[in-house]
Amino acid sequence: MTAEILVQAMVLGLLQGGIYALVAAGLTLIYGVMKVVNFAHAEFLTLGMYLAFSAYTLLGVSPYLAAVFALGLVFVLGAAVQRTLIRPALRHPQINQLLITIGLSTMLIGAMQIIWGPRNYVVPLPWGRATLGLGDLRVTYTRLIAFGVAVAIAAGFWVFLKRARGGLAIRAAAQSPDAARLMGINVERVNLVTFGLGTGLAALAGALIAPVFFINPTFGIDYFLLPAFVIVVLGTMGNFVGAMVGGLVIGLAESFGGLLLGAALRQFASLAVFVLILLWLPRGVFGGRMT
Amino acid sequence: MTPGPADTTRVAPLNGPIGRLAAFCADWLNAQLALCLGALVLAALVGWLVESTYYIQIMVLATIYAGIGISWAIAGGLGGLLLLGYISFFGIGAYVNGLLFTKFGVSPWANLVLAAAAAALLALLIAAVTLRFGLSEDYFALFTVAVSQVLKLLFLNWDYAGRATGIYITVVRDDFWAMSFTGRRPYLVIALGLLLVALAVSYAIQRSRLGYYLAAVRENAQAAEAIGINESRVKTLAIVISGGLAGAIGAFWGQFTSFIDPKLSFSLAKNFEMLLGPVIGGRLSLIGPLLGTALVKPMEDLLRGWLGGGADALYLVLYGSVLVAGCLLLPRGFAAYLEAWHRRLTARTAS
Amino acid sequence: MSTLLELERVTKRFGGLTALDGVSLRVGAGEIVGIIGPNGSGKTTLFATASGFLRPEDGDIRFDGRSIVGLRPSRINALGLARTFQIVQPFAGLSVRENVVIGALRGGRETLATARRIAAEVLDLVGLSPRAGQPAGNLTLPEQKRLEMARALATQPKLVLLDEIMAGLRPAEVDQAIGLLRQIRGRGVTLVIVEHLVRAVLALAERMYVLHHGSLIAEGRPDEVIHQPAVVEAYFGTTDGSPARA
Ligand SMILES: Nc1ncnc2c1ncn2[C@@H]1O[C@H](COP(=O)(O)OP(=O)(O)OP(=O)(O)O)[C@@H](O)[C@H]1O
Ligand SMILES: [Mg+2]
Repeated sequence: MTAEILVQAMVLGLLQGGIYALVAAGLTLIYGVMKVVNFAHAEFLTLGMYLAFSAYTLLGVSPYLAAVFALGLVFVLGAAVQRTLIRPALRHPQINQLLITIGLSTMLIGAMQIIWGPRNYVVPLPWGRATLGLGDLRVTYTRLIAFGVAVAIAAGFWVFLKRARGGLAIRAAAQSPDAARLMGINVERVNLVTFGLGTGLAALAGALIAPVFFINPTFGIDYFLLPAFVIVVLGTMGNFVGAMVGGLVIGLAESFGGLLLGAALRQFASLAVFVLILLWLPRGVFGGRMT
Repeated sequence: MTPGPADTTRVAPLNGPIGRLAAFCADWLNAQLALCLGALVLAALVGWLVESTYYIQIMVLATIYAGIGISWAIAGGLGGLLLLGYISFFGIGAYVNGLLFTKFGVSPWANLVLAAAAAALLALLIAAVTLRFGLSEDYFALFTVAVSQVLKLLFLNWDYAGRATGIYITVVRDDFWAMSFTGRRPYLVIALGLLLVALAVSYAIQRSRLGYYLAAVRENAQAAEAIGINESRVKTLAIVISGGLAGAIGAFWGQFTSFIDPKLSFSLAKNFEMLLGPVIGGRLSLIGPLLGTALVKPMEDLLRGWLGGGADALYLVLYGSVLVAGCLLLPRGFAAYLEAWHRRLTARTAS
Repeated sequence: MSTLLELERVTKRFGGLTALDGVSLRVGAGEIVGIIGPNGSGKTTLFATASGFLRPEDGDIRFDGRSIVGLRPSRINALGLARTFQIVQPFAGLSVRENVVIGALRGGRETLATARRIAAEVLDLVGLSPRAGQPAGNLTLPEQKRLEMARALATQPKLVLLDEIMAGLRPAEVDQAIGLLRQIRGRGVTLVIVEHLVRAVLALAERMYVLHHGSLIAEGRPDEVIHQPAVVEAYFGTTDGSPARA
């Protein structure tokens, strides 16, 4: 195995990891604040991909501009879902909450299939295949852009969580809803916004990778749900920074895993990592606290 | 759950068999048992009268799911465990029968027991590992789901078990010993028999000390430990019983569909479908899983058949909506309403 | 009098905080022993450690002649050591009767029929019989404290650790509770009581320990201990002023 192949695996792993990080960030945020495991999370990513696809093919809008609209649109959709399905379920038994997000996932897959059909689509950017060469290594611009934007957004979001009043409210609600309430924070609104933002970030990530992957209704659940869960558990459920680091780690692990084990066993490696992390680090490497 | 006969119920002294039945049913658990047995008799009767293979097929599947629902509710309801990935036991059962029957000619009747044993062993392993590492709630739920997908991948890559193609069971003639029948009716009888076993086990548990321990651990595990109940042992027992029953039912399912592959045997979609019945029917009751499944599962199958293959997207939307609406609107299941109604009825009869 | 429970230099830490600092004490069979101390002095931690819910970092705990460190709480209960929870932990969805029946099953050493009989007796004893059919979650706080006690007693223990079961009671109810505890001791059950209400401890306990910042600062006859300067200072921060008014 040559050095170039290893470097290639590393670069590809990191590029994928950046996207993972953004998707997992939303999932972990939702869990941190509401303690709801959102099994429908990956569908919002798929939805973002389709929105970018339609924006490009119908209106000629660049997927990167569409990403902004996808974020906004899915934010509203996510908030509506939170208000109608999640919020009333917060007082229900956990099994009901889990099945509700699972049912939501099924509904969304069906709805996307009705709207866009079961076929695979691509966003046919004229420069979609163009690559940047770094010595022997070639990476498509689309992947580079997706990575760059995803990391920038995630970093920006982290600053928002740390500095902004809204970010403080989210962190406070994640620490203790009751204490946050006593501090005068409107926890209901924080929940609403968090769910909107979390799903919106997934959609944004989806729009960014729309030019990179084939789009179909089960793309998200097939390729992103498991990694997102692995990352979120690895980085401690509810921990934002953990999800960032976890995203990159899992991106790299999958890339090298695929190299060493072959495609069939790559998924197995992911699952094995998941099981082992659950057992040995059930509270993740970042301990029990959020950021 | 109300374990033990309610000692507050007094029933008007009616004589004869009706009176005795009424007295028996004054207790909610007994009333549920009577209703469940009535439903079983009714199902057998319908199965006997209906000619259409299609409808009997749907009834068999509904009966299988009802049995699974009751079995799941032992751990997932009575024990309060977030056993989200339940299909592992079902799939293992299907494969144990598939392999033993096609490779070694072991009778599926014996395999019902062997599959239950294998699934119980897997359950024991899962219980031991999760308890040892202190996984609970969401983490336990995710772990059980992950295990089911690990199993799916293992079988997908196992040559001996036919990899993705899986195992075919060929039925050419009626053979009781091989549990192979050209008609569908015999399968309905066996499915009802298995459902009866699951009902009996659940009823016996709710009548016994184990029923009280499960209730205690579910309500407050710490308080249960403080009064001498070994939380780990009770949880392990619940998972093992739930898992074992699912193994036997899975073995029968494979025999019935005569086709066992990793994608179907460990399907997450099917897994969640199985939990829908008990959750909206009522996890803490005997009748809930039966009622929920009887309402939902045939409706699903009929809807799928009625919409036809081309409309599976619409089916997904409708099914997803039922899942969401059911779990949202019935946090304690149908059974809670039935129980309240039963309480009013007995109170009226008593006065 | 034979020793039933004995703690030897027991230390329990939570991170940097030493909640119990080398605590040694003994409880004789048939005694009523009181433990007092200001808020956060480690009383509940002491009970949780003795009953197996917390594992001490150091020291030994012996019950009825054998070391019980590292045993799980259910096992310790089976040996005859029961506890109540200061923050009540009812099986809220079950009836009061079922709560006590579960205790009376003693982890499987009694049949259901026997357990029902024992539960009925215990409910009578603590005066909860009229509420037996209610869901435990519907009880008032003082009733829930009595339920805690009933559930513990139903396991037929040799010794019960009672953590502030009189908190929130009115004076007349306190007198009633004192009578009840005397009655229970009269049946041969050893009692260790934690109470902020010094009056109750004085009325009941033959011996008393005082905890402060995780250490025992005094022990002996209650009426003597209560006036020791170290105890007065622990409660009031000064040595003048009398704690006995509580
Ligand atoms: N699980 C825990 N983790 C960390 N610290 C704890 C824990 N339990 C108790 N403590 C700390 O240990 C100290 C002793 O607490 P404990 O509850 O034993 O006091 P207490 O004497 O029972 O007080 P009170 O009279 O208020 O009931 C306190 O400082 C408390 O904050
Ligand atoms: Mg205390």
